[in-house]
Amino acid sequence: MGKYICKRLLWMIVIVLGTAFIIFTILYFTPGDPARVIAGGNATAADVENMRHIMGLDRSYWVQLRDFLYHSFLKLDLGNSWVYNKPVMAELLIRLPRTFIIGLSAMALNLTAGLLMGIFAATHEGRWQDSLTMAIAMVFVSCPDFWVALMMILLFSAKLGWLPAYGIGGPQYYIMPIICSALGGIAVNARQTRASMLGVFREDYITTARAKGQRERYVVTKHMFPNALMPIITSIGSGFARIVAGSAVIESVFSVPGIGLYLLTAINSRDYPVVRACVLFFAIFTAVVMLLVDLVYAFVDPRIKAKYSSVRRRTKK
Amino acid sequence: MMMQKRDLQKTSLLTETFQRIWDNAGARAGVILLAVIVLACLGAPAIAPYGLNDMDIQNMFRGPSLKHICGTDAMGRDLFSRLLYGGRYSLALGFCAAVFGASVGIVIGCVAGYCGGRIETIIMRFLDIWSSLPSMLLCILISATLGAGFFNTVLALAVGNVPNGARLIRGQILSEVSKEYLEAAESINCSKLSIMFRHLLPNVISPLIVDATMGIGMTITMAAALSYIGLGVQPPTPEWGAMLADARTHILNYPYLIMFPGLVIALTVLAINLIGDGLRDAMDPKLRK
Amino acid sequence: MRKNRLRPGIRRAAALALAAGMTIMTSACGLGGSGETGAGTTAASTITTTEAATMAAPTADANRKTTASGERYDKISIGMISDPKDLSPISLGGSNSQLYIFYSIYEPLFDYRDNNYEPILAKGYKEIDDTHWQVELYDYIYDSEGNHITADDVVYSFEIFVASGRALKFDSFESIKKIDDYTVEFTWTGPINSIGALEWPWCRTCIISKEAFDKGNFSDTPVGTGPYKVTEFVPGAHVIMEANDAYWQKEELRDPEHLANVQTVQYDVISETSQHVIALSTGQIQYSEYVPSENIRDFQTGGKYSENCDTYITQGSALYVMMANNAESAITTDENLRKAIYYALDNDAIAMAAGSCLPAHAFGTPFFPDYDEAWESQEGNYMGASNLELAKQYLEQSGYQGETIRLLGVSEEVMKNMMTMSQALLLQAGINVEIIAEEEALQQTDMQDPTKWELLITKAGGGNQIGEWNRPANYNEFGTGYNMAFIHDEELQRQLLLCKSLAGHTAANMGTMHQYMLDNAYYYAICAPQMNATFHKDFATLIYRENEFLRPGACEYYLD
Repeated sequence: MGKYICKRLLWMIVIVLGTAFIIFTILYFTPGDPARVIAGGNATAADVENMRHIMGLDRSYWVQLRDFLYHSFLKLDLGNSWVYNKPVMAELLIRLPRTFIIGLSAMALNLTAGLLMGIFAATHEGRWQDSLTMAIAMVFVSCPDFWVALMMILLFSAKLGWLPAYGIGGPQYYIMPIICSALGGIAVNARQTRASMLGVFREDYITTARAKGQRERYVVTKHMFPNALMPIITSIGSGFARIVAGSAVIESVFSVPGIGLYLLTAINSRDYPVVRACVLFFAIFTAVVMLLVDLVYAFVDPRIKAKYSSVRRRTKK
Repeated sequence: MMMQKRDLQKTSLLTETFQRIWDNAGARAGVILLAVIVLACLGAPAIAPYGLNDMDIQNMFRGPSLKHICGTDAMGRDLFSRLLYGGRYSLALGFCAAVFGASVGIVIGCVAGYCGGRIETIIMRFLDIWSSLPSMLLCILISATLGAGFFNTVLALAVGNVPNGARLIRGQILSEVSKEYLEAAESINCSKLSIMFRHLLPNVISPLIVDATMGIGMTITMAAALSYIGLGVQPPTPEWGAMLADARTHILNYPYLIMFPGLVIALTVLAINLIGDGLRDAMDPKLRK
Repeated sequence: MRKNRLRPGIRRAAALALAAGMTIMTSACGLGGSGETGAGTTAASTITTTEAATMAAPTADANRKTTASGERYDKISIGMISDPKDLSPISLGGSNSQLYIFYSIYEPLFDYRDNNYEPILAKGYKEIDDTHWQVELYDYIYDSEGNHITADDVVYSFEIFVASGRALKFDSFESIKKIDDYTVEFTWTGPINSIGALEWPWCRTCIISKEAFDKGNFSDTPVGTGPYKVTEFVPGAHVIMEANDAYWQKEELRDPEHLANVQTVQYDVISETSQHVIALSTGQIQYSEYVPSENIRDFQTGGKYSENCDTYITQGSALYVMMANNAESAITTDENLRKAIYYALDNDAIAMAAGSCLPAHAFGTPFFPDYDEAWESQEGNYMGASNLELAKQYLEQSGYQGETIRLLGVSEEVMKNMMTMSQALLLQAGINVEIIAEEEALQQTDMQDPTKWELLITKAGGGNQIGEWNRPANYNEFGTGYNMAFIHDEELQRQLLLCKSLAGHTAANMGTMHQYMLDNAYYYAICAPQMNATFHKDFATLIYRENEFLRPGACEYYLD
C-alpha cells in the first residue's frame, strides 16, 4: 500500500511539472502585451519598452521558462503579482479559506441532500416519490449556476432584503454562494446514488439477505449502501475539484475575493505570475483529491486494496 | 409461417435503442421538448415576428406584451426573436464542441486502449496532466488566447471534454480486449486499424454516447458562462449566454431580460439530460426491467 | 406487466411537467414586479446639455448643523467597481479606484486646478531660468507616522517614481536635485510652454518619506502626508481609512480640499453595478458613481429609494471618439468613405443605446472651459446631425465595393452597445461592419496594429480640451511617428502644438484646428458619458478633485 502511495506521489510531481510547462507556454503565446497593460493606457511605446525590460519580458522563451521553473520548484517562490506587487503565495493563502469555505460547505450540502434524495428515490423505485425526486434533481442540474445566483440575489437581497448581496464578513454572506455552488452537485449525487443503489438491488447477495429474513433497513444500510458507494465516492471527489475550480463564476457574481476571482482578474489584466500560481494550485489540488479518492476506494473495497498492494505487471501479447 | 418471418426479422441496434427511448416517458418528453426547441430555432426566419437585429429605439426595455412576447432589450430588439436565432448559436456550439471533443477522445482512447504498453502509459499520463487543469479554467485560458468568435469558442469548449471521453473508451476497451472475437479477427490478419475501428469501437461506444449527450448540456451551460465572463462570441450575436451577460446590469428593473434566456437554457439542457438518461437506460442491458 | 410499465412513465412525465410549471411560475412572479415599470416608461434618462451643465452641486442648508462647525461626521462607505489592488505611490495606473484613494492618503507638491498649480506641500515656485525652477517646501511637513519630510525625501519620491516605469508624461522632466533641506531644483528638458506640461511631475507624484518606504510595505500599508491614513486593506474586498489627526499643516493654512470632515471612510469593492443599487437602498454604502442609468430615477424625488438618497448628474470629461484607419493599406484612407461613414452615424441613437451619455455635436465635450459651442455650426460638421442622403452620396463617390469594415472596441457593455448601434446605422447606408470586441489587454495591443482594424472606438480624456485632443492626434504620442489613427500630418501636428502652447491656446487657434480636422474627416466624436453620483442625504456638499474624483474628507456633512 505504501508503495502505491509513493508511486502516485511521484507521478503527481511529474504531472505538476507538465502542467507548469504547459501553462507557461500557453501564457507566453497569448496575445496581449502585459507590459502595455501594466504601463496603462497613457503610455508611449518607449514607456512600454521600458516596462517590458523592467518586468523581464524581453528575454527569450527558454530563459524565462528556466527562470520560472527554477523559482517555483527549487526556491518555492511563486513571485510577485505584477498588478498587486505582493507575493502571490501570501495572497493565495489569504484567499484560500474563502474559496474553501464555499467549496467544503457546498460539498457537505451536496452529500447530505444528494445521498438522501438518491436513497429515497431508489427505495421507492418506480413510484411517484422516485419520479418527483429525480425531476427536481433534473431541474437543478439544468439551470446554469450563475443564473440561479442572479435570481437568488434578486429575490433574497433586492426584494426581501434578507441576505447581503455581495462581499464577505459573517456567515450570512456565504449562504447564497454555497447554495448556488451546491445545486448542480446535489442533482448529480442524487442520480448517481440512485443508479448505483438500483444496480446493487439486483445482486444476488441482496436476494440472499432478504431470503434470510433480515429487515429491509438492515439490508439497505449494511449491504446495499457500502457496495453502491464506489461511484458515489468518485463523483464526490470530482465534484469537489469541480466546485473549487468553477468558483470563478460564483465568486464573480457575489464579489467574494477568493481564488477563482483572483485568477479571473489576473487573466484579464495579464498578470502571469498569478495565473501560473493559481493553475498550479488547482492542478496540485485536483491531483491530491484524486489520490484521496483512490485511497478511500481502497479503504471501502478490500478487493481494490489488494489490487494496489500487489505488484502487477501488465502483460501484453 | 408469418410468425417465423417476424422472428427472423433483423432489428438493428439503432432501431431497438429508439424504441426503448420512446417507451420511456421521461425520455420521450425530452425528445419532444428538444425537437420543439430545435425546430423553432431552425425555423427562426419563418417564426420570428421581428428580425434578428431590428432595433426600435422608441421601445427600449418594454416588458412582455402582446406586441413583444418576451419584451425588448436595451436597444429595442425583440427578445423572443433573438432567443430563436440565438438558439442556433448555442445549440450549434454545444453540439459541435461535444462531438468534436468526443471524436478526439475516441481516437486517443482507442489508440491507448488497444496499443497498450508504453504508448498507453504516455498517453494516460498526458491525459492526467490535461485533466488536472479544471475544464472551466482551461476554457477561459484558451478562449483568452484564441480570442472571441464561434470556432474559437468551439475549440475552447471541446478541449475540456477530451480526457473524459478518452478515459472512458480506454476503460471499456481494456475490459473488451481479452474477448475472443478480437483474437479471431487477429488470426485472420485484420490490420490493427481495422480491428480498432470496425470491430472494437461499435461495442464500446455506448457509454461514450451517453457521456457525450450529457456533455452537450454541460457545454451549453459553459458557453453561457464564458459569455457571461466576457469571452465567447462577438456582438451582436444573440447567443443565449451573451444575452444573459448583457442583461446583468438591468436585473433590478427589467428582470425578464434575465429570466427568459436562463429559462430557455434550462429547458434545453433539461431536454438533453432526459434524452441522455433515456439513452443510458436503453443501452444498458443491466437496467432493463 | 404492461400496466406497471405505463404507470411510472406517466407519473414521471407528470412530475416533470410539474417541475417545469414551477420554474415558469417563479419566473412569472418576478415578472409581475416589472410589469409596472416596463410599460409606459421611456428608456434611459438622457438629459439635455443645458440641464447637465447647469445642475448645481448640492449646497449646505444653512439652518442645519454641519461639519463646518468643527465636529466630524462618523463614517461613510463608498462603492467602487474594481479593486485598487496596489496602494504604493509608484504603482499609479489608470485605475479609477486608485485615483479615488491615493489623493486622500498621499499629497503631491501641487494640486492641478483649472490649469493652475496650487501649492500644497510646496510653498511656491521660483523660475531661476527657462529650464531651472526652484520649489520651496514647508519646513514642518510630517507624514502620518511622524517622519519628517525634507528635500531628500522629495528627490527620492521622484526617483522611485521614474524608476518604476509608470511615470508617464514626464517629457519635460529631466532631473531634480536638492538645494538645501527644504528647497529642490527641477531641471526641465526645455522651456515650459504648453498647458499641463507639469501636471504629472508636480501634481501626480506622491511625496513620501524615504525611511518609511524602505522599511515598510506601501502596497498594503501606505504611509503618506495626506488627511487620511489607511488602517485596513483587504484586497478584493475593501479599504478603510481613518482621519489623520497628526496632519502637518496649520489650521489656518490648510487647503480646503485637504480636510478630514469624516472620521472613517470605507471603500467597498462591488463589481456588479446592480449591487450598487441594492447597497445604496439598504444603506450599506452612502455614495456611488456606478448606479446604472435606468435606476437613477429611483433615487430622485419621487423614486422608491429617494427617502434617504439624492442624485447629482454632471457632464463627465471623457469622450467616446471614433476614428478611421489612415494607414496606406486600409481602405479607409479614402476620404469620401470616411465622410460617408461619419454622416451615416447618428449620435442621438448611439447615445441612447449607450445609456447615460450625452450625444456630441462637435469634437469635444462642454465639460472643458476651452470647448467652444461655435464648433457645432462649423461647415462640414458631420457630428451635428445624421444625414443619410449625404452619406450615400459620399459612398458612391468613394471606391467602396461592399468590403467588410472591422470596428474595434473594448468588450464592455457600453462600448458593445455603441458598436452594435453603429453597425446597424452603417448598414442602413450600405456599409458592412464587423464588430471586434476584445478585452482590454488585447485591445490595447491590437489598437497599435494597422492591419487589425478599419474603425476604432476609444474613450478619450484629459485635463482640458486640447489635452483630450492630444492623445489621438499627436504623432509623437506612441513614439512611432503616427498618431492613434495612423495619420502623419505635419499641418495637424503644427496646429496641435500651437494650441498646446501657453501663448497659442486661444479660441481662434482651436477653432481653426477643429475645422481642419472636420475638413479631413479625421475624427468623429460620439458621446460623452455623464457622471451619475448617487449620494445619501447626509452629504451637505460634494467636493471633487479636478471635478472628477470625490474627496470625502472635504465634503460637508449634516450632523443632525
